[in-house]
Amino acid sequence: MKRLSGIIVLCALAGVWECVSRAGLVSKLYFPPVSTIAAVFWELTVSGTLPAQAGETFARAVAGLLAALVLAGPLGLGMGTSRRLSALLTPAVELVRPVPPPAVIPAAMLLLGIGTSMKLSVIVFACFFPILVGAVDGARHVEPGFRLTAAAYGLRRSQLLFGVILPAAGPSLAAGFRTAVPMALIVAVLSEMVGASSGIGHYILRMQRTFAIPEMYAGVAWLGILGLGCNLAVERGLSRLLRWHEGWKSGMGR
Amino acid sequence: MPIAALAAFVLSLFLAVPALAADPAPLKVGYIPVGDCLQYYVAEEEGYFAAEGLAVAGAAMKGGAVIAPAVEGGELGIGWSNTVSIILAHAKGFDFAFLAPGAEGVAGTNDVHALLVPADSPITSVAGLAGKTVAVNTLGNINEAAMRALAQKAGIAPDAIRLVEVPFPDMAGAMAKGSVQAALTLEPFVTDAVSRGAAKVLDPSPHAAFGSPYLIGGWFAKKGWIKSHPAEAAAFARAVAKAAAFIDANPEKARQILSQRTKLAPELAAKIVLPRFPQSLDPKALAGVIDVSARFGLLAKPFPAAEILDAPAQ
Repeated sequence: MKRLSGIIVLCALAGVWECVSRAGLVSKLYFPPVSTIAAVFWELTVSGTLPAQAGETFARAVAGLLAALVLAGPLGLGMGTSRRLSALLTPAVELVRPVPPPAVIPAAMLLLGIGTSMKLSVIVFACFFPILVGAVDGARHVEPGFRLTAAAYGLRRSQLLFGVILPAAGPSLAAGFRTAVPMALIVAVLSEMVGASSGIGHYILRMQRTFAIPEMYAGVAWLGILGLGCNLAVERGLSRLLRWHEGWKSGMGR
Repeated sequence: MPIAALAAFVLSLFLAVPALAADPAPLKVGYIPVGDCLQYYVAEEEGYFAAEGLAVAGAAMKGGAVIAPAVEGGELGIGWSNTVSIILAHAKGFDFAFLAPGAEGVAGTNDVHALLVPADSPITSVAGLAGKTVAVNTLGNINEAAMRALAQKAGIAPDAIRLVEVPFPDMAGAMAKGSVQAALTLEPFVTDAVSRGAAKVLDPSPHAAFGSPYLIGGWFAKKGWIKSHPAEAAAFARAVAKAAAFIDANPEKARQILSQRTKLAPELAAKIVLPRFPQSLDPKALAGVIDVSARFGLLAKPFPAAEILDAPAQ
Protein backbone atom coordinates (compact mmCIF):
# COMPACT_ATOMS: atom_id res chain seq x y z
CA MET A 1 0.00 0.00 0.00
CA LYS A 2 2.76 2.37 1.07
CA ARG A 3 4.75 1.53 -2.05
CA LEU A 4 1.68 2.03 -4.24
CA SER A 5 1.02 5.56 -2.97
CA GLY A 6 4.66 6.42 -3.64
CA ILE A 7 4.33 5.22 -7.21
CA ILE A 8 1.13 7.25 -7.64
CA VAL A 9 2.96 10.41 -6.55
CA LEU A 10 5.78 9.61 -8.96
CA CYS A 11 3.31 9.18 -11.83
CA ALA A 12 1.54 12.40 -10.84
CA LEU A 13 4.84 14.31 -10.94
CA ALA A 14 5.61 12.87 -14.37
CA GLY A 15 2.09 13.88 -15.44
CA VAL A 16 2.60 17.45 -14.22
CA TRP A 17 5.93 17.61 -16.09
CA GLU A 18 4.28 16.29 -19.26
CA CYS A 19 1.44 18.84 -19.08
CA VAL A 20 3.63 21.80 -18.17
CA SER A 21 5.94 21.03 -21.07
CA ARG A 22 3.20 20.30 -23.61
CA ALA A 23 1.29 23.43 -22.64
CA GLY A 24 4.40 25.46 -23.46
CA LEU A 25 4.62 26.98 -19.96
CA VAL A 26 8.36 26.37 -20.11
CA SER A 27 10.76 26.10 -23.00
CA LYS A 28 9.93 22.78 -24.63
CA LEU A 29 13.51 22.57 -25.82
CA TYR A 30 14.93 22.57 -22.30
CA PHE A 31 12.03 20.76 -20.61
CA PRO A 32 10.96 18.23 -23.21
CA PRO A 33 7.84 16.23 -22.28
CA VAL A 34 8.52 13.12 -20.19
CA SER A 35 7.12 11.00 -23.01
CA THR A 36 9.75 12.35 -25.42
CA ILE A 37 12.51 11.63 -22.91
CA ALA A 38 11.10 8.16 -22.28
CA ALA A 39 11.14 7.38 -25.99
CA VAL A 40 14.76 8.55 -26.34
CA PHE A 41 15.66 6.69 -23.15
CA TRP A 42 14.24 3.48 -24.55
CA GLU A 43 15.95 3.91 -27.89
CA LEU A 44 19.36 4.63 -26.33
CA THR A 45 18.92 1.75 -23.90
CA VAL A 46 17.99 -0.81 -26.53
CA SER A 47 20.79 0.35 -28.83
CA GLY A 48 23.22 -0.19 -25.97
CA THR A 49 24.58 3.37 -25.95
CA LEU A 50 23.52 4.24 -22.41
CA PRO A 51 24.18 0.81 -20.86
CA ALA A 52 27.74 0.94 -22.24
CA GLN A 53 28.42 4.41 -20.81
CA ALA A 54 26.74 3.60 -17.49
CA GLY A 55 28.66 0.32 -17.36
CA GLU A 56 31.97 2.16 -17.49
CA THR A 57 30.90 4.52 -14.75
CA PHE A 58 29.64 1.59 -12.67
CA ALA A 59 32.88 -0.34 -13.12
CA ARG A 60 34.96 2.64 -12.00
CA ALA A 61 32.70 3.27 -9.01
CA VAL A 62 32.83 -0.37 -7.90
CA ALA A 63 36.60 -0.60 -8.32
CA GLY A 64 37.08 2.58 -6.29
CA LEU A 65 34.63 1.45 -3.64
CA LEU A 66 36.30 -1.94 -3.18
CA ALA A 67 39.76 -0.40 -3.08
CA ALA A 68 38.54 2.01 -0.41
CA LEU A 69 37.06 -0.88 1.57
CA VAL A 70 40.32 -2.82 1.44
CA LEU A 71 42.29 0.24 2.54
CA ALA A 72 39.96 1.87 5.05
CA GLY A 73 38.37 -1.21 6.63
CA PRO A 74 41.47 -2.73 8.26
CA LEU A 75 42.92 0.69 9.06
CA GLY A 76 39.67 1.73 10.76
CA LEU A 77 39.48 -1.49 12.78
CA GLY A 78 43.08 -0.94 13.81
CA MET A 79 42.41 2.65 14.86
CA GLY A 80 39.31 1.58 16.74
CA THR A 81 41.17 -1.05 18.75
CA SER A 82 44.53 0.57 19.28
CA ARG A 83 44.69 3.78 21.27
CA ARG A 84 48.21 4.44 20.05
CA LEU A 85 47.33 4.11 16.36
CA SER A 86 44.24 6.23 16.88
CA ALA A 87 46.21 9.02 18.58
CA LEU A 88 48.72 8.87 15.75
CA LEU A 89 46.26 9.12 12.86
CA THR A 90 43.16 10.90 14.16
CA PRO A 91 44.43 14.47 13.65
CA ALA A 92 45.37 13.75 10.05
CA VAL A 93 42.08 12.00 9.37
CA GLU A 94 40.03 14.77 10.93
CA LEU A 95 41.86 17.36 8.87
CA VAL A 96 41.46 15.63 5.52
CA ARG A 97 38.02 14.09 6.05
CA PRO A 98 35.95 17.28 5.68
CA VAL A 99 37.50 18.11 2.28
CA PRO A 100 34.69 17.62 -0.28
CA PRO A 101 35.89 15.00 -2.80
CA PRO A 102 35.11 17.16 -5.87
CA ALA A 103 37.58 19.69 -4.48
CA VAL A 104 40.45 17.23 -4.88
CA ILE A 105 39.75 16.65 -8.60
CA PRO A 106 41.85 19.62 -9.78
CA ALA A 107 44.76 18.56 -7.58
CA ALA A 108 44.39 14.95 -8.71
CA MET A 109 44.48 16.13 -12.32
CA LEU A 110 47.76 17.95 -11.69
CA LEU A 111 49.31 14.98 -9.92
CA LEU A 112 47.94 12.10 -11.94
CA GLY A 113 46.79 13.58 -15.23
CA ILE A 114 43.35 12.86 -16.60
CA GLY A 115 43.42 9.11 -17.00
CA THR A 116 41.86 6.23 -15.10
CA SER A 117 44.26 6.54 -12.17
CA MET A 118 43.03 10.08 -11.49
CA LYS A 119 39.38 9.03 -11.58
CA LEU A 120 39.95 5.97 -9.41
CA SER A 121 41.97 7.79 -6.81
CA VAL A 122 39.32 10.47 -6.43
CA ILE A 123 36.66 7.78 -5.96
CA VAL A 124 38.84 5.99 -3.42
CA PHE A 125 39.34 9.30 -1.61
CA ALA A 126 35.58 9.90 -1.48
CA CYS A 127 34.75 6.40 -0.22
CA PHE A 128 37.68 6.06 2.14
CA PHE A 129 36.46 8.25 4.97
CA PRO A 130 32.86 7.06 5.43
CA ILE A 131 34.18 3.48 5.57
CA LEU A 132 37.04 4.44 7.88
CA VAL A 133 34.79 6.29 10.29
CA GLY A 134 32.30 3.41 10.32
CA ALA A 135 35.09 0.93 11.05
CA VAL A 136 36.67 3.08 13.78
CA ASP A 137 33.33 3.66 15.51
CA GLY A 138 32.35 0.04 15.26
CA ALA A 139 35.62 -1.29 16.61
CA ARG A 140 35.79 1.33 19.35
CA HIS A 141 32.33 0.63 20.69
CA VAL A 142 32.61 -3.10 21.05
CA GLU A 143 30.79 -4.08 24.23
CA PRO A 144 33.54 -4.12 26.94
CA GLY A 145 32.05 -7.33 28.32
CA PHE A 146 32.83 -9.08 25.03
CA ARG A 147 36.45 -8.12 25.26
CA LEU A 148 36.74 -9.18 28.89
CA THR A 149 35.10 -12.47 28.10
CA ALA A 150 37.41 -12.96 25.14
CA ALA A 151 40.40 -12.16 27.34
CA ALA A 152 39.13 -14.57 30.03
CA TYR A 153 38.94 -17.35 27.43
CA GLY A 154 42.43 -16.47 26.26
CA LEU A 155 41.52 -15.73 22.64
CA ARG A 156 44.40 -15.04 20.31
CA ARG A 157 44.60 -11.68 18.58
CA SER A 158 43.31 -13.01 15.28
CA GLN A 159 40.49 -14.85 17.04
CA LEU A 160 39.60 -11.65 18.85
CA LEU A 161 39.60 -9.71 15.60
CA PHE A 162 37.58 -12.12 13.47
CA GLY A 163 35.44 -13.64 16.20
CA VAL A 164 34.56 -10.61 18.29
CA ILE A 165 35.58 -7.21 16.95
CA LEU A 166 34.67 -7.66 13.28
CA PRO A 167 31.16 -9.00 13.93
CA ALA A 168 30.52 -6.39 16.60
CA ALA A 169 31.79 -3.61 14.35
CA GLY A 170 29.89 -5.04 11.38
CA PRO A 171 26.76 -2.88 11.52
CA SER A 172 28.73 0.33 11.92
CA LEU A 173 31.15 -0.68 9.18
CA ALA A 174 28.18 -1.55 6.98
CA ALA A 175 26.59 1.84 7.64
CA GLY A 176 29.83 3.53 6.58
CA PHE A 177 30.00 1.37 3.49
CA ARG A 178 26.43 2.22 2.59
CA THR A 179 27.23 5.94 2.84
CA ALA A 180 30.17 5.37 0.52
CA VAL A 181 28.10 3.71 -2.23
CA PRO A 182 26.32 6.82 -3.54
CA MET A 183 29.51 8.81 -2.97
CA ALA A 184 31.35 6.45 -5.30
CA LEU A 185 28.78 7.00 -8.04
CA ILE A 186 28.63 10.77 -7.55
CA VAL A 187 32.37 11.20 -7.71
CA ALA A 188 32.73 8.78 -10.62
CA VAL A 189 30.27 10.92 -12.60
CA LEU A 190 31.95 14.16 -11.55
CA SER A 191 35.39 12.90 -12.50
CA GLU A 192 34.02 11.98 -15.92
CA MET A 193 32.94 15.56 -16.45
CA VAL A 194 36.58 16.65 -16.73
CA GLY A 195 39.18 15.22 -19.01
CA ALA A 196 37.16 12.21 -20.07
CA SER A 197 35.98 10.71 -23.29
CA SER A 198 33.63 8.07 -21.90
CA GLY A 199 31.29 7.32 -19.03
CA ILE A 200 27.80 8.51 -18.27
CA GLY A 201 29.00 11.79 -16.71
CA HIS A 202 30.85 12.60 -19.89
CA TYR A 203 27.83 11.58 -21.96
CA ILE A 204 25.45 13.87 -20.08
CA LEU A 205 27.78 16.83 -20.41
CA ARG A 206 28.37 16.20 -24.09
CA MET A 207 24.64 16.01 -24.81
CA GLN A 208 24.07 19.28 -22.96
CA ARG A 209 26.85 20.97 -24.93
CA THR A 210 25.47 19.79 -28.25
CA PHE A 211 21.89 20.73 -27.34
CA ALA A 212 20.73 17.11 -27.44
CA ILE A 213 18.47 17.78 -24.46
CA PRO A 214 16.23 14.65 -24.40
CA GLU A 215 19.41 12.53 -24.67
CA MET A 216 20.85 14.47 -21.73
CA TYR A 217 17.81 13.73 -19.55
CA ALA A 218 17.89 10.10 -20.64
CA GLY A 219 21.46 9.93 -19.31
CA VAL A 220 20.38 11.49 -16.03
CA ALA A 221 17.53 8.98 -15.78
CA TRP A 222 19.98 6.13 -16.28
CA LEU A 223 22.07 7.47 -13.44
CA GLY A 224 19.02 7.60 -11.21
CA ILE A 225 18.16 4.02 -11.99
CA LEU A 226 21.78 2.91 -11.57
CA GLY A 227 21.96 4.62 -8.17
CA LEU A 228 18.68 3.09 -7.08
CA GLY A 229 19.80 -0.35 -8.18
CA CYS A 230 23.15 -0.06 -6.38
CA ASN A 231 21.52 1.09 -3.16
CA LEU A 232 18.94 -1.68 -3.23
CA ALA A 233 21.56 -4.33 -4.00
CA VAL A 234 23.85 -3.11 -1.24
CA GLU A 235 21.01 -2.98 1.30
CA ARG A 236 19.90 -6.48 0.37
CA GLY A 237 23.43 -7.78 0.59
CA LEU A 238 24.18 -6.12 3.88
CA SER A 239 20.97 -7.17 5.57
CA ARG A 240 21.67 -10.75 4.53
CA LEU A 241 25.23 -10.48 5.82
CA LEU A 242 24.04 -8.97 9.11
CA ARG A 243 20.91 -11.04 9.49
CA TRP A 244 22.06 -12.22 12.92
CA HIS A 245 22.21 -8.66 14.20
CA GLU A 246 19.15 -7.56 16.16
CA GLY A 247 19.62 -3.82 15.74
CA TRP A 248 20.18 -4.05 12.01
CA LYS A 249 17.09 -6.16 11.49
CA SER A 250 14.86 -4.09 13.72
CA GLY A 251 15.42 -0.91 11.81
CA MET A 252 18.77 0.63 12.73
CA GLY A 253 20.01 -0.28 9.31
CA ARG A 254 16.87 0.07 7.30
CA MET B 1 6.37 15.07 4.09
CA PRO B 2 9.48 15.04 1.91
CA ILE B 3 7.53 14.23 -1.25
CA ALA B 4 5.27 17.25 -0.77
CA ALA B 5 8.36 19.38 -0.25
CA LEU B 6 9.92 17.94 -3.38
CA ALA B 7 6.77 18.58 -5.38
CA ALA B 8 6.67 22.15 -4.12
CA PHE B 9 10.30 22.60 -5.08
CA VAL B 10 9.76 21.22 -8.58
CA LEU B 11 6.70 23.40 -9.04
CA SER B 12 8.56 26.48 -7.88
CA LEU B 13 11.22 25.71 -10.50
CA PHE B 14 8.58 25.68 -13.20
CA LEU B 15 7.14 28.95 -11.92
CA ALA B 16 10.56 30.57 -11.73
CA VAL B 17 11.41 29.93 -15.37
CA PRO B 18 8.64 32.09 -16.92
CA ALA B 19 9.46 34.78 -14.34
CA LEU B 20 13.01 34.92 -15.68
CA ALA B 21 11.65 35.37 -19.18
CA ALA B 22 10.32 38.82 -18.30
CA ASP B 23 12.20 41.55 -20.15
CA PRO B 24 15.03 43.04 -18.09
CA ALA B 25 15.32 46.82 -18.08
CA PRO B 26 18.95 47.14 -19.20
CA LEU B 27 20.08 44.97 -22.09
CA LYS B 28 21.81 41.95 -20.56
CA VAL B 29 24.70 40.60 -22.59
CA GLY B 30 26.61 37.41 -21.89
CA TYR B 31 30.23 37.24 -23.02
CA ILE B 32 33.35 35.17 -22.36
CA PRO B 33 36.26 37.07 -20.79
CA VAL B 34 38.75 36.19 -23.54
CA GLY B 35 40.28 37.91 -26.55
CA ASP B 36 37.47 36.69 -28.82
CA CYS B 37 35.06 39.02 -26.98
CA LEU B 38 37.36 42.03 -27.14
CA GLN B 39 34.64 43.99 -28.98
CA TYR B 40 32.56 44.02 -25.83
CA TYR B 41 35.29 45.62 -23.72
CA VAL B 42 36.12 48.17 -26.42
CA ALA B 43 32.46 49.13 -26.93
CA GLU B 44 32.14 49.67 -23.19
CA GLU B 45 35.44 51.56 -22.74
CA GLU B 46 34.83 53.80 -25.76
CA GLY B 47 31.21 54.45 -24.80
CA TYR B 48 29.74 52.98 -28.00
CA PHE B 49 26.82 51.34 -26.17
CA ALA B 50 25.91 54.60 -24.43
CA ALA B 51 26.25 56.51 -27.72
CA GLU B 52 23.65 54.17 -29.21
CA GLY B 53 21.35 54.84 -26.26
CA LEU B 54 21.84 51.37 -24.83
CA ALA B 55 22.15 50.56 -21.14
CA VAL B 56 24.13 47.34 -21.31
CA ALA B 57 24.69 45.08 -18.34
CA GLY B 58 27.42 42.58 -19.18
CA ALA B 59 27.81 39.17 -17.61
CA ALA B 60 31.18 37.43 -17.92
CA MET B 61 30.35 33.75 -18.36
CA LYS B 62 32.17 30.48 -18.86
CA GLY B 63 31.16 29.69 -22.39
CA GLY B 64 28.42 29.04 -24.90
CA ALA B 65 27.14 26.08 -22.89
CA VAL B 66 26.13 28.48 -20.10
CA ILE B 67 25.25 31.47 -22.24
CA ALA B 68 22.86 29.66 -24.61
CA PRO B 69 20.45 28.47 -21.89
CA ALA B 70 20.43 31.99 -20.42
CA VAL B 71 19.56 33.49 -23.81
CA GLU B 72 16.93 30.80 -24.41
CA GLY B 73 15.35 31.48 -21.02
CA GLY B 74 15.32 35.23 -21.61
CA GLU B 75 17.74 35.97 -18.77
CA LEU B 76 20.12 37.43 -21.35
CA GLY B 77 19.01 39.38 -24.42
CA ILE B 78 22.21 38.80 -26.37
CA GLY B 79 25.10 36.43 -25.88
CA TRP B 80 28.40 35.50 -27.47
CA SER B 81 28.87 31.95 -28.64
CA ASN B 82 31.20 29.97 -30.82
CA THR B 83 29.75 29.17 -34.22
CA VAL B 84 29.41 25.41 -33.83
CA SER B 85 27.23 25.66 -30.71
CA ILE B 86 24.76 27.86 -32.56
CA ILE B 87 24.86 25.55 -35.59
CA LEU B 88 24.06 22.53 -33.39
CA ALA B 89 21.41 24.43 -31.43
CA HIS B 90 19.73 25.45 -34.69
CA ALA B 91 19.72 21.84 -35.86
CA LYS B 92 18.00 20.84 -32.61
CA GLY B 93 15.24 23.40 -33.09
CA PHE B 94 16.55 26.34 -31.06
CA ASP B 95 15.51 29.71 -32.42
CA PHE B 96 19.00 31.30 -32.32
CA ALA B 97 20.64 33.52 -34.91
CA PHE B 98 23.77 35.65 -35.07
CA LEU B 99 22.94 39.35 -35.23
CA ALA B 100 26.56 40.53 -35.43
CA PRO B 101 29.89 38.83 -36.14
CA GLY B 102 32.16 38.28 -33.17
CA ALA B 103 35.51 37.05 -34.36
CA GLU B 104 36.96 35.56 -37.50
CA GLY B 105 39.96 33.33 -38.01
CA VAL B 106 42.16 34.11 -41.00
CA ALA B 107 44.78 31.54 -41.95
CA GLY B 108 48.29 32.94 -41.73
CA THR B 109 47.47 36.22 -40.04
CA ASN B 110 44.74 35.70 -37.46
CA ASP B 111 45.14 32.13 -36.25
CA VAL B 112 44.02 32.24 -32.65
CA HIS B 113 44.14 28.45 -32.40
CA ALA B 114 47.13 26.18 -32.74
CA LEU B 115 47.85 22.49 -32.38
CA LEU B 116 50.68 22.16 -29.86
CA VAL B 117 52.92 19.30 -28.83
CA PRO B 118 55.36 19.30 -25.90
CA ALA B 119 58.67 20.98 -26.76
CA ASP B 120 60.53 17.66 -26.54
CA SER B 121 57.92 15.65 -28.43
CA PRO B 122 59.20 13.28 -31.13
CA ILE B 123 55.99 13.85 -33.12
CA THR B 124 56.59 16.00 -36.18
CA SER B 125 53.33 15.75 -38.12
CA VAL B 126 49.61 15.30 -37.58
CA ALA B 127 49.91 11.80 -39.03
CA GLY B 128 52.23 11.00 -36.13
CA LEU B 129 49.29 11.50 -33.77
CA ALA B 130 47.52 8.34 -34.96
CA GLY B 131 46.69 6.28 -31.88
CA LYS B 132 47.67 9.15 -29.61
CA THR B 133 45.50 11.29 -27.32
CA VAL B 134 44.83 14.95 -28.05
CA ALA B 135 43.22 17.50 -25.72
CA VAL B 136 40.33 19.64 -26.95
CA ASN B 137 38.37 22.02 -24.75
CA THR B 138 34.99 20.51 -25.55
CA LEU B 139 33.99 17.44 -27.48
CA GLY B 140 31.25 17.80 -30.04
CA ASN B 141 32.43 21.30 -30.83
CA ILE B 142 34.38 23.35 -33.34
CA ASN B 143 37.67 21.90 -32.13
CA GLU B 144 36.56 18.28 -32.44
CA ALA B 145 35.45 18.97 -36.02
CA ALA B 146 38.80 20.66 -36.70
CA MET B 147 40.80 17.70 -35.33
CA ARG B 148 38.80 15.19 -37.37
CA ALA B 149 39.40 17.26 -40.50
CA LEU B 150 43.12 17.60 -39.70
CA ALA B 151 43.44 13.84 -39.28
CA GLN B 152 41.75 13.19 -42.59
CA LYS B 153 43.95 15.74 -44.34
CA ALA B 154 47.03 14.04 -42.88
CA GLY B 155 45.89 10.78 -44.43
CA ILE B 156 44.85 8.97 -41.26
CA ALA B 157 41.33 7.92 -40.25
CA PRO B 158 39.32 10.81 -38.76
CA ASP B 159 38.86 8.85 -35.52
CA ALA B 160 42.42 7.52 -35.35
CA ILE B 161 43.20 10.26 -32.85
CA ARG B 162 41.64 9.88 -29.41
CA LEU B 163 40.18 13.17 -28.18
CA VAL B 164 39.72 14.04 -24.51
CA GLU B 165 38.21 17.09 -22.91
CA VAL B 166 40.62 19.31 -21.03
CA PRO B 167 39.88 22.95 -20.18
CA PHE B 168 42.18 25.35 -22.09
CA PRO B 169 44.10 26.51 -18.98
CA ASP B 170 44.91 22.89 -18.02
CA MET B 171 46.15 21.74 -21.43
CA ALA B 172 49.80 22.66 -20.96
CA GLY B 173 49.80 20.74 -17.68
CA ALA B 174 48.14 17.71 -19.27
CA MET B 175 50.83 17.71 -21.97
CA ALA B 176 53.61 18.04 -19.44
CA LYS B 177 52.17 15.10 -17.48
CA GLY B 178 52.01 13.01 -20.60
CA SER B 179 48.24 12.51 -20.27
CA VAL B 180 47.87 13.89 -23.79
CA GLN B 181 50.41 13.97 -26.58
CA ALA B 182 49.08 17.16 -28.19
CA ALA B 183 46.59 19.91 -27.47
CA LEU B 184 44.39 22.03 -29.70
CA THR B 185 44.51 25.27 -27.77
CA LEU B 186 43.97 28.97 -28.33
CA GLU B 187 45.36 32.33 -27.36
CA PRO B 188 46.68 33.41 -24.94
CA PHE B 189 47.64 29.84 -24.04
CA VAL B 190 49.41 29.26 -27.38
CA THR B 191 51.76 32.21 -26.96
CA ASP B 192 52.19 31.51 -23.26
CA ALA B 193 53.20 27.86 -23.69
CA VAL B 194 55.40 28.49 -26.71
CA SER B 195 57.20 31.51 -25.25
CA ARG B 196 57.86 29.62 -22.01
CA GLY B 197 59.49 26.91 -24.10
CA ALA B 198 56.97 24.31 -22.88
CA ALA B 199 55.48 23.55 -26.26
CA LYS B 200 56.01 23.86 -29.97
CA VAL B 201 53.51 24.36 -32.76
CA LEU B 202 52.62 21.26 -34.76
CA ASP B 203 50.00 23.00 -36.90
CA PRO B 204 49.53 26.77 -36.87
CA SER B 205 46.16 26.73 -38.68
CA PRO B 206 44.24 23.75 -37.29
CA HIS B 207 40.94 25.24 -38.45
CA ALA B 208 41.99 25.50 -42.08
CA ALA B 209 39.31 23.00 -43.15
CA PHE B 210 36.66 25.62 -42.42
CA GLY B 211 38.09 27.88 -45.12
CA SER B 212 39.53 31.31 -44.57
CA PRO B 213 38.22 33.51 -43.14
CA TYR B 214 35.83 31.48 -40.99
CA LEU B 215 33.53 32.74 -38.26
CA ILE B 216 34.85 31.65 -34.85
CA GLY B 217 31.85 33.04 -33.04
CA GLY B 218 29.53 35.97 -32.74
CA TRP B 219 26.75 37.80 -30.98
CA PHE B 220 23.51 35.86 -31.06
CA ALA B 221 19.97 36.19 -29.81
CA LYS B 222 16.67 34.43 -30.26
CA LYS B 223 15.15 35.36 -33.61
CA GLY B 224 11.95 36.12 -31.70
CA TRP B 225 13.84 38.55 -29.50
CA ILE B 226 15.44 40.30 -32.49
CA LYS B 227 11.99 40.68 -34.04
CA SER B 228 10.47 42.10 -30.86
CA HIS B 229 13.45 44.37 -30.05
CA PRO B 230 14.48 45.70 -33.47
CA ALA B 231 15.85 49.01 -32.19
CA GLU B 232 17.94 47.45 -29.42
CA ALA B 233 19.23 44.70 -31.70
CA ALA B 234 20.26 47.20 -34.39
CA ALA B 235 21.86 49.55 -31.84
CA PHE B 236 23.87 46.67 -30.37
CA ALA B 237 25.02 45.53 -33.81
CA ARG B 238 26.14 49.10 -34.63
CA ALA B 239 28.02 49.42 -31.32
CA VAL B 240 30.00 46.20 -31.80
CA ALA B 241 30.68 47.11 -35.44
CA LYS B 242 32.15 50.40 -34.24
CA ALA B 243 34.23 48.46 -31.73
CA ALA B 244 35.45 46.21 -34.57
CA ALA B 245 36.49 49.28 -36.55
CA PHE B 246 38.28 50.68 -33.49
CA ILE B 247 40.23 47.43 -32.96
CA ASP B 248 41.22 47.46 -36.62
CA ALA B 249 42.43 51.07 -36.44
CA ASN B 250 43.99 51.02 -32.94
CA PRO B 251 45.37 47.55 -32.32
CA GLU B 252 47.78 48.70 -29.58
CA LYS B 253 45.05 50.49 -27.63
CA ALA B 254 42.77 47.48 -28.09
CA ARG B 255 45.43 45.19 -26.62
CA GLN B 256 45.78 47.53 -23.65
CA ILE B 257 42.05 47.37 -23.03
CA LEU B 258 42.20 43.57 -23.30
CA SER B 259 45.00 43.32 -20.78
CA GLN B 260 43.24 45.66 -18.32
CA ARG B 261 39.88 43.96 -18.58
CA THR B 262 40.95 40.31 -18.62
CA LYS B 263 43.90 40.70 -16.19
CA LEU B 264 46.10 39.26 -18.90
CA ALA B 265 49.78 40.13 -18.38
CA PRO B 266 50.51 43.17 -20.63
CA GLU B 267 53.54 41.53 -22.23
CA LEU B 268 51.37 38.51 -23.16
CA ALA B 269 48.53 40.75 -24.37
CA ALA B 270 51.01 42.53 -26.63
CA LYS B 271 52.24 39.27 -28.16
CA ILE B 272 49.16 37.11 -28.66
CA VAL B 273 47.44 36.69 -32.01
CA LEU B 274 44.04 38.35 -32.10
CA PRO B 275 41.18 37.20 -34.31
CA ARG B 276 39.91 39.57 -36.97
CA PHE B 277 36.76 41.45 -36.07
CA PRO B 278 34.64 41.91 -39.18
CA GLN B 279 31.95 44.56 -39.29
CA SER B 280 29.27 42.64 -41.14
CA LEU B 281 28.01 39.07 -41.28
CA ASP B 282 29.18 37.02 -44.23
CA PRO B 283 27.39 33.71 -44.85
CA LYS B 284 30.52 32.44 -46.60
CA ALA B 285 32.45 32.60 -43.29
CA LEU B 286 29.92 30.13 -41.85
CA ALA B 287 29.35 27.74 -44.72
CA GLY B 288 32.66 25.94 -44.27
CA VAL B 289 32.04 25.39 -40.56
CA ILE B 290 28.59 23.96 -41.27
CA ASP B 291 29.97 21.64 -43.96
CA VAL B 292 32.82 20.32 -41.81
CA SER B 293 30.46 19.81 -38.85
CA ALA B 294 28.16 17.77 -41.07
CA ARG B 295 31.03 15.85 -42.63
CA PHE B 296 32.29 14.61 -39.27
CA GLY B 297 28.95 13.70 -37.78
CA LEU B 298 28.42 16.58 -35.38
CA LEU B 299 25.52 17.69 -37.53
CA ALA B 300 23.01 15.32 -39.16
CA LYS B 301 22.86 17.33 -42.38
CA PRO B 302 24.14 20.72 -43.58
CA PHE B 303 21.85 23.73 -43.95
CA PRO B 304 22.20 27.15 -45.62
CA ALA B 305 24.21 29.55 -43.45
CA ALA B 306 21.55 32.24 -43.92
CA GLU B 307 19.26 30.28 -41.59
CA ILE B 308 21.28 31.32 -38.58
CA LEU B 309 22.09 34.87 -39.64
CA ASP B 310 19.65 37.57 -38.72
CA ALA B 311 21.34 40.94 -39.01
CA PRO B 312 18.85 43.57 -37.87
CA ALA B 313 17.97 46.36 -40.27
CA GLN B 314 20.52 49.12 -39.68
